[in-house]
Amino acid sequence: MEKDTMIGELVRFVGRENVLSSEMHYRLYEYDASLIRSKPDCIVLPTSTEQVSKVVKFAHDNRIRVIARGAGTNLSGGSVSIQGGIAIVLTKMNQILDMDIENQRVVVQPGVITLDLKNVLARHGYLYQPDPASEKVTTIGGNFGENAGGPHCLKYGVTSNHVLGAEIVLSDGQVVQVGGKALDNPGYDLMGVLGASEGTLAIVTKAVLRIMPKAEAVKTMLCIYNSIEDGGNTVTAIIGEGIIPATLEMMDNLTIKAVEEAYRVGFPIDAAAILIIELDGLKDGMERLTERILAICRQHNVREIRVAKDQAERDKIWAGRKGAFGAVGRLHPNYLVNDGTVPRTRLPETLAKVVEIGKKYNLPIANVFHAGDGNLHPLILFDERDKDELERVHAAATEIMKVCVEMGGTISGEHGIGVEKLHGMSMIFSPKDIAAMKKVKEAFDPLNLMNPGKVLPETEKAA
Amino acid sequence: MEKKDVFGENTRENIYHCIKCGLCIAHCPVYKEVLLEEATPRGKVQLSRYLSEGSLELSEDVKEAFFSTCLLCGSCVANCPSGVHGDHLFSGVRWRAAQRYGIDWKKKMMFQLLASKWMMSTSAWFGKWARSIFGGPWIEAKLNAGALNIEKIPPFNDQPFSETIPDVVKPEGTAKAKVMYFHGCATNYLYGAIGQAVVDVLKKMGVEVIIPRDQSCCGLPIFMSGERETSLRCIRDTLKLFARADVDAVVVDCATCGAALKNEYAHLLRDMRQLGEKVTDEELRAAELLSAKLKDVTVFIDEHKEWLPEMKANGNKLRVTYHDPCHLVKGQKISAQPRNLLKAIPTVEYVELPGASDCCGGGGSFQVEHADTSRKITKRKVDSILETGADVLTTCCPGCNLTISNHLDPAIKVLHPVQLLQKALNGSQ
Amino acid sequence: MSSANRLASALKEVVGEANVIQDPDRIKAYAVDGLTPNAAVSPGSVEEISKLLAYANSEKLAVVPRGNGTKMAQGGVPRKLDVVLSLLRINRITEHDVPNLSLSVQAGMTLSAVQEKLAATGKGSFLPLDPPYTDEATIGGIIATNGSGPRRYLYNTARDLLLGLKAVSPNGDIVAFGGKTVKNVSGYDMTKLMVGSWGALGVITEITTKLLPLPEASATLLVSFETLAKAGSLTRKVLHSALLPSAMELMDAKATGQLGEKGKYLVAFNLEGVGEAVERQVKEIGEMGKKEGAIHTKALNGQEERSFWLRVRDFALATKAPVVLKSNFVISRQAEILGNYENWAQAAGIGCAFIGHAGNGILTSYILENVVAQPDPVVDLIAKFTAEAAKHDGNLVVESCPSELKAKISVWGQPRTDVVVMRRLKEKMDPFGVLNPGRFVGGL
Repeated sequence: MEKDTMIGELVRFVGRENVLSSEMHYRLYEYDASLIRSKPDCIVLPTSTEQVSKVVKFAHDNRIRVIARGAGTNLSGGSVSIQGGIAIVLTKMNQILDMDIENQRVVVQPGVITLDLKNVLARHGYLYQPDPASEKVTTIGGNFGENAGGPHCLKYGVTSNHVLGAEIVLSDGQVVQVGGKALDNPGYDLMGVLGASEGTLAIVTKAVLRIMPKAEAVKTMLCIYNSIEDGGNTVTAIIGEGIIPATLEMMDNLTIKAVEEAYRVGFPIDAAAILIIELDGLKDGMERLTERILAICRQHNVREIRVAKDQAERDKIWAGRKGAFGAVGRLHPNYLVNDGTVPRTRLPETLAKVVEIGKKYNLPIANVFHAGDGNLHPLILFDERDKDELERVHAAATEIMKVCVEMGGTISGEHGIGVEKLHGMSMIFSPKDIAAMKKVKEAFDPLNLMNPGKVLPETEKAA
Repeated sequence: MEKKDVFGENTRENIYHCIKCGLCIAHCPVYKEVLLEEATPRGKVQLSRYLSEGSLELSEDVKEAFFSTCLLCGSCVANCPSGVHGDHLFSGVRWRAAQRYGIDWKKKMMFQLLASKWMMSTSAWFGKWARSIFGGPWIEAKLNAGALNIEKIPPFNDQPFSETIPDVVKPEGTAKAKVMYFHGCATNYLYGAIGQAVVDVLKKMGVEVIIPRDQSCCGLPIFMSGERETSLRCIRDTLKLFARADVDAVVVDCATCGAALKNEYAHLLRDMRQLGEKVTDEELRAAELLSAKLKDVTVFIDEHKEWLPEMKANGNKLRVTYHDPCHLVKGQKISAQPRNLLKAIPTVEYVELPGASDCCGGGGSFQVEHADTSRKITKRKVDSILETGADVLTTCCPGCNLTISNHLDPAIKVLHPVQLLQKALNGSQ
Repeated sequence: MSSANRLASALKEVVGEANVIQDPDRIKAYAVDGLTPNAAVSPGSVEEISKLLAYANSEKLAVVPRGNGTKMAQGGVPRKLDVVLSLLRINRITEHDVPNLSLSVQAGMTLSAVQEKLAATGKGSFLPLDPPYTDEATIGGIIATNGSGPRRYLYNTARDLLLGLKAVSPNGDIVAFGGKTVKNVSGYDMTKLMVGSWGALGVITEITTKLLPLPEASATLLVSFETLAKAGSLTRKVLHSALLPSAMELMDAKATGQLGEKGKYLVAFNLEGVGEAVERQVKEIGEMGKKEGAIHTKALNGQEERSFWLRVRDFALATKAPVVLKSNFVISRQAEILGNYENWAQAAGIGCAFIGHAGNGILTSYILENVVAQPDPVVDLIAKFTAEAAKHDGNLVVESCPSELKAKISVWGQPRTDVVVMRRLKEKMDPFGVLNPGRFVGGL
């Protein structure tokens, strides 16, 4: 179809001001937070489910590809239109539609920013549990498409455990309700398979979220170590003792330095590692649990322990953690963030191997990780203007993925496969596994128009 | 466009530290209303990159993006974990865009006036006269300058503030310190009362105040609109008058002027030098000297608060809240000192404003030229002020003052904290 | 050779003669809704299952997977039934990673055997699922039917616990999804898709699940009321508080009486966790109950406690209720809907007991009388119940009922718009309708 004709039609569906078709706009929507760039053919910003449906149906009838997008902070290239097509940007669908405290549910449009939602809920004493570090800019839709985690997912689960229903637009434009406010609606767990589907199966135009009363008490501790191994062993020991804290986060020295430079939150820059441990729940017994945790820390050579006295101190600790990724940008212009996950007990081993890989490829690597659930984020630092370095970075990333798989883990804990990790899928799935997943894709999107080229590798490559 | 031309080398390096994490997006007041990638700081940094690398041509579109979706509030800079100075990049693009496409003739004229002090004075007289003859509530209520209701803009001072005070104001007894006062255009032409309050309070503190009569505009509004050459006149004039080692401080009552003199002059001169402008080492040293001496007046007063005479309580309490101007809290990282002063006044009941550091939406000429977006941002600010139930809103920026008072219930006074100090020191309420 | 004989010989070739049942007396036990299969097989390995399904796929046979058959009564009448595939010989723990709190276990093992093993290893752990049919239910069946019980209030359900899953596709492919880690977004979440899929998309052979450490302390509090409104008020207050019971069940007089307890309406709380928190909650909920006008409060510990919950979970078994219905709806309507159901059942003269998960919006109705003789009033009642649940964003499924009734009722409740996607999935993944054809939602 002629581009002008296409644009004309899209203008009819969403209005002139919601169609972007200048070269400047193509360049603005060609990237996300990964290293991948590719221009869409056109950008639309719908403001209603009906508009999304019309655009998708039009695209379907004319065999045009579509790619849904929120804030575009995807780390694996999931928001980049590598095969062109229409970028459907959902930022304008940002309304909270229904705050249903009585039923412990909230219904939102996909463009609602996660932290904005949590701030509104906080006024009612309620929480939406998933807390990805990017929550102040990411949207619910994006979180769901990637099945985002965050520090609190150790205790509370990831996004798909808290999105209980959705209104979705299928690849042919049909609008369908899946799940809902009530639990256990009979049928296949379509909500389950939509989570982490990275926009390749359908577009969410409404999401029904589970919310819960905020915990009575919270205790946040910053534990400072002279060795990463001691930190890692502390983590294993805490869980081994039968204590499941709300969070168990770890940062290494390079990251600590960057965070201090960026935010000055008081992390000691000579520490080899810091652990952020948070307990939440009823206040009864919390002191005793805290003591048990601190005893375990001491057993593993903790250098210093700081317990946050109030909300302000707690916020400071978390500000340091949540800004960690961006902060390493002070050390080097670019980073590639890995997302491997290993069984908790193998974390120290895995980290040691990551350090080796860094040395092998002569690349500095800063580490942030969700120690409690074994999800590590080695941040490989480099300058993308140096082509040789870029190559080494990709090689290092692939090796790190391999190591995680060898340790009994997987290649992506929360950032998605996107484009970036396609070549890693064969490390964990057999061709038959991929074939089964392909069937799901074909059932939802027979023409392969929805965010094509993501998540599933070509079968030949999988062999 | 040649690769070197848009930015000086140092400025250009910023581009390559943007990792596109998007965290800046959470802090951009314009993005909140517009929801497009061009309105994000990240988007503009990427556009800056494309322009610098030559992979995108400067166009009307691009110019629009840099002018209509950015207040140059600096919120992104303050919150970028990688330390990218988006504001330096964006003003660089505006400069090139202004050169290519020119700027609005009214703006151009305005900047000429600001840069040329005698013309400004004359036109202020004219403006006041014209308003008294031709103006009147009936007409003015219907006149809008973009998002600004003309009726609610304060009238010009009867005389420019600089003409109502001597060049030097000495305190009683020996001076404990000697400061220069850069009052800026807003105080000079619209907010004479603030100027009086600054001098009054400093005098009562035992400080000698030097107010150079022919001081210039700080140049920042001109610079931000892309008229770099014109702004250089202001910068050089200011340096000549104020870069002195023999004073204890140079105080300002305006956040934007403060940011200009403290943070921007040195960087801008270096940048222009890298782009081919003749800038002497002496000028750079002057800029650095001025930067070292520069203090917002609330910072100076707070640092020497033991010099303040006693303020008595009188049984009445005014409910007062405070709005952080972007160029003060984000640009200069000053937020505690103005609050300290307010809390020290016995007749003030201080209440914290939710979202105190959220932008007011004014952005100088932004509110005139991009009224829609500006109004939406200002509305959020006004709503949160109303939530506090305050009688008075204080702020350290006449720009914010102008914008907020234009949209706020007139029953709520908008003042500079130093004005409340003055009243308290004079024993009045 | 007759087709039945061909089938038998093909099956024997894969699993061995001893593991094929065709004897008419023995095969009766494997009937589904009155339909008798041609054969029942017990494969001993995943490879055997793969060969069996590949064969069934090529011959377009209909296969029904089976554990201990505790939920066989649920679902639509099969369109076709050739072979029942028993998973009972696939019944080992394949990996128990004690320090990482994860377990990989095969489908044929019973949950109770799993729990026993877990409790006895190391510091003791458990799989936080407590579905009905405590002694018999197998892992595969529980996961395939998304079975759950009262403790889902705190611990949620299978979709929130499973880390990975292995299965055999309808065409015989052996596939594995997910893994051992709590965080995993590699590829599609096929594990979740398989949970509750009623064996229609694949035969689950193994799951990997996260475990929890055994709670330090446990107590149960029974709070009795004269009126439903008061009981509902208590559950509502607890729901919106920061308190964390592991279970909160609301039941009517018939159920309460059946369990040997007092009161017209009973709210049963299970408290688990650190000792101080359990103690505090017992006290606090007791006080809250009094404030709402409770007529009686009773605490249970140890064996008494365990026995109580066993009887709650296995209520259907104990009462031999011929019809069991499960309604789901928005949480806040729990008491209201129970009240309406009670009234309608009474008006229809049908004896019915009700037990609900008061914090989840789930209500199970147990029709205690034989209804085959006079089906119409029950059919009407079920329709009424269904409409009521649907009014509140939910639905109703028939967990068990006499096969004769199935033609007259919609055992999967009201259809919803997403069945179009389910149909497409089934068609792609099981084009020849090998697994459980006709038994699931939408007749899929």
